[in-house]
Amino acid sequence: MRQISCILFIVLFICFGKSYSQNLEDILNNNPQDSLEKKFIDATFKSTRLINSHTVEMPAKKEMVFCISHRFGLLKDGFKTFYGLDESSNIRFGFDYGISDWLTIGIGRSRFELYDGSLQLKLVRQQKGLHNIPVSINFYSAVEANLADPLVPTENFTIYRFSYTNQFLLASKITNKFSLQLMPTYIHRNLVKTGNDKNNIVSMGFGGRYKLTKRLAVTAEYYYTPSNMLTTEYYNPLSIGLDIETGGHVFQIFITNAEGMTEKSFIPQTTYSWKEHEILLGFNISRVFSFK
Amino acid sequence: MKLILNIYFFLNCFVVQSQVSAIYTSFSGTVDFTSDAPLELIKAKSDKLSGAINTKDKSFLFNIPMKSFQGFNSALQRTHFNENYLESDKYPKSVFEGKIIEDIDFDKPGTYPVRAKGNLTIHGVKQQRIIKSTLIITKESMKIKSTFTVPLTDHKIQIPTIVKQKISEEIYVTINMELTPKK
Repeated sequence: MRQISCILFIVLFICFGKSYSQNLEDILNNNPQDSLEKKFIDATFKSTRLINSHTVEMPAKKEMVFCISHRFGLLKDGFKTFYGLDESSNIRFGFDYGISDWLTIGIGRSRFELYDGSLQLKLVRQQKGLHNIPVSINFYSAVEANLADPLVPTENFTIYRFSYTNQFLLASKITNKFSLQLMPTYIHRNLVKTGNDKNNIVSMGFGGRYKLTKRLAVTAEYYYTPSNMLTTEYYNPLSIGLDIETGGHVFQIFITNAEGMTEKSFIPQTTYSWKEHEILLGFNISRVFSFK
Repeated sequence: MKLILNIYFFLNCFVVQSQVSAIYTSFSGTVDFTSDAPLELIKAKSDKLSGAINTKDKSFLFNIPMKSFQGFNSALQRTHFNENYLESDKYPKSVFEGKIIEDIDFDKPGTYPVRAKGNLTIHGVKQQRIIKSTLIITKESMKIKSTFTVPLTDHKIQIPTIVKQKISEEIYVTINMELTPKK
């Protein structure tokens, strides 16, 4: 009897002893505050541009992104023009400035007297924790003015210089390496080339990036505009490229069939076709400046 | 027999009591770090350091989510810190766990210099470290202050040649934490 009670004593003491030495890791991992925190997803893309389009990345408050873009001549022109590098078909430089973390304004100029102004709003951020939201949603709106003289002198021409683009950017960082973005777009042009061209265009953009290494990523972008909105002269723009990030700069090199650099140009006014092998080289370089 | 049972229950009372006061925790310690390089000074801070100390066996565990660091010279720099250098998506937390070398009477208020010996894991790479700290014990809480250096190569954090003059190979880290008994 005495022996049994001794054994019981020892067994019970061991049991109590074990529950006593609590696991420090369990204690720290059960912080009730954790589930109340908002964990925002960062760096869905490496820069504020995908290829031609904007991404949901925006400069932070008091930061400015300066972007220079070039498009060259057709690759199929061959060795004589060094695969199009001789010809500079389009150039744009633009500045995007973060007024706050969720509002950016931008200005830019492209070749042949095209001036654009834009604003972008961060509406929803992809996040985990307190709320699980799988997408980031931004709204992008731009006005473009064509300051070139009309072919035929026209009175009250000013209003016809303007075009308007409105876009939602819906992006998701699906894995650490892979991000996707949808860009439903509405473009209104006050003046179009012929009576068959539509002043109002609706288009759906698809884009994505896949990280190959910490600083290198593959990108792709395509806009689908229903064929009844474009005459047969125009083709949908498809672009494929590489993002190289080096500290404060991002270099983007790509091939595309679109010469235009603003939505109103590259979505409904691309005259080159991939089927005809009419593709050209282009690059964007962005740099971030901080005014804090 | 009765005596043994009585002694047993009597001892259990002590066990339950010490269970309450043996573990001190905090979920809001601060960590400041500085990178002092020839071409750039970078400072960042986090107030999400969590820590637990078991006064019975002198063991401790600290961890911090790397994405909680704020400061830096620009938001882009903070993005690069997480995406390219610390790879915070892969290694979300840095951890230091181990034991305090010196025997301390945790019930006696005072200031004690101690050495915390354990494994410091940053960027997924573990390094054995002995980190000198100051323990300030009061009736209500236990404060920890510590300053130490983290060599980036110790934890396989790579600095590309192009920014070698802007990021220091050794980072100065300061920790401040006040732990209270876990209830």
